[in-house]
Amino acid sequence: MKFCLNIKSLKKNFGCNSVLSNVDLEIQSDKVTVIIGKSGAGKSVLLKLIAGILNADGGKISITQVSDAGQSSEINLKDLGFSYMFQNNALFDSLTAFDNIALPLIEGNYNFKSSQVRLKVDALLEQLDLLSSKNKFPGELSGGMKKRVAFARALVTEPNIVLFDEPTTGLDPEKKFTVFEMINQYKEQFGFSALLVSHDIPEVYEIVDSIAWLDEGKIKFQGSKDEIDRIADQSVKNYLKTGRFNSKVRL
Amino acid sequence: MDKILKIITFSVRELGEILLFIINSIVGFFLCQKRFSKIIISSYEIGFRCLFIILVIGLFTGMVMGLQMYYTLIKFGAESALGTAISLSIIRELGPVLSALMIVGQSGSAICSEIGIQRNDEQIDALETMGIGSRSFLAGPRLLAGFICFPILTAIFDLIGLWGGYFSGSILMGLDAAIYWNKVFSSVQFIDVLGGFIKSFIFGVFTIGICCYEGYYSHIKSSYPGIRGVSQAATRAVVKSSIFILVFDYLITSFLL
Ligand SMILES: Nc1ncnc2c1ncn2[C@@H]1O[C@H](COP(=O)(O)OP(=O)(O)O)[C@@H](O)[C@H]1O
Ligand SMILES: [Mg+2]
Repeated sequence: MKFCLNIKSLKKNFGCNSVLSNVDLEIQSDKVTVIIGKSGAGKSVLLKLIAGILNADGGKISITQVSDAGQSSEINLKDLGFSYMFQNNALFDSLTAFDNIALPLIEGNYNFKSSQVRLKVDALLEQLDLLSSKNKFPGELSGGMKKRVAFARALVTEPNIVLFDEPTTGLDPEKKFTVFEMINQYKEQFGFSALLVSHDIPEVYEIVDSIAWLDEGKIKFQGSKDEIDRIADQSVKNYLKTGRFNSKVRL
Repeated sequence: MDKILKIITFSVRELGEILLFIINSIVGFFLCQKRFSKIIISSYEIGFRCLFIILVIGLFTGMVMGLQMYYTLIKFGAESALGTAISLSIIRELGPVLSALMIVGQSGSAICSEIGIQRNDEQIDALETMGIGSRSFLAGPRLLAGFICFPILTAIFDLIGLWGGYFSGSILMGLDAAIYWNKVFSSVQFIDVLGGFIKSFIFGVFTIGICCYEGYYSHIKSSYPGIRGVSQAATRAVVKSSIFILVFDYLITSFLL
């Protein structure tokens, strides 16, 4: 499905703490967009605003859907079909891995028979190498496994767009790489668009089409990897390329 | 005077919010019929876990009442009225009130902290992003379980309380057992039992409602973020529920009498 998510001068304050002052962002379908920025820059807040968990204090988020016939119409995110992978997974500790993944199918607005649910969930469990942990509770799983369960739960509803909030935090470098691989692979397989928040510069660039840098409440740069090279300011360029303003490592 | 007025308006507004929360949860629950099995789990959570404490408290309440009333009544030579005194006070007042207080202390605080932790862990946000109505999902089954379990536990409390009174009044103090039970059966009327049940239905829905509400909004109602806010919420839930029980016990009684 072709769509375009448009964010125009989005604002969000918590009391007198202005977190987002003026965010403009455009997200295209079938693309992977990454939001980078310092801790506390408001990346999670931005994702929550898009998902409708928080309400904005100003600005507009709109999604334009383009049908195969070329007609464009405005829809909301729920109708588009989205899922959200939370920074801390937000798995239900009283449910097993299987039940956690099945939860959106059983309790959401779907009408699947329990045999269909089992088939779908088992297929995902197998693909994500989780079959042996099927009946374990989140408390009994390692960090990487929890991430994979959360990933499976996000994919099981076959969304058109998935929002990932720091999907790799707390994982060792190898597992980080696996998560990025997973996103890339399933994006091809399920055909979703992805918006992710990540600190893993430059590793994350391997899988993204568009990079957005959130700083001081604004998107200060949005573009592809190649466009970074054209930035004049050396320290910004360094930051976007390496995650550090000063490329020399001081210990 | 101004302060008292403020407290009253605040309480009424809060009560209204809780009522809306309850209605919202229950309506949402009935609209999604896939969740009825959850009532059983919640009933276990609220009902079965409290059974032991209800038995103990009920027995000792009856026993201590048996003793106290016996010593009071014998001063007037009216110890034969022991059955009347115990049965009416337990069935009308102590049964519903003490059971509700015990259930709130045991299960209500647990419910509040559980929902509060789920809020803190963004599980409630996760439910909403999955298109699952979080209020009806989390609070709905618990409210209905409260509606079912409070009267049952109250009935158990009443029964065991009467036996406690029998034990101390009759077996220990020597009042004739036939007189005791005769008075119990002759003085308790249907309206007394009904009044007790009406109370426990109302206590059941509202106290569980208060506990769910406090947990659900622990992130905005507490002065601390995180787990500390959740523990604050649990304390608030128990305090508010207890106040609710005692205030509404008085109000309902004055309507019923
Ligand atoms: N629910 C909230 N209430 C008050 N302040 C918040 C809330 N959520 C986030 N903030 C504030 O917003 C800022 C950005 O937070 P966040 O989006 O989590 O940062 P990050 O970019 O690391 O994800 C922080 O300063 C944080 O204190
Ligand atoms: Mg964050």
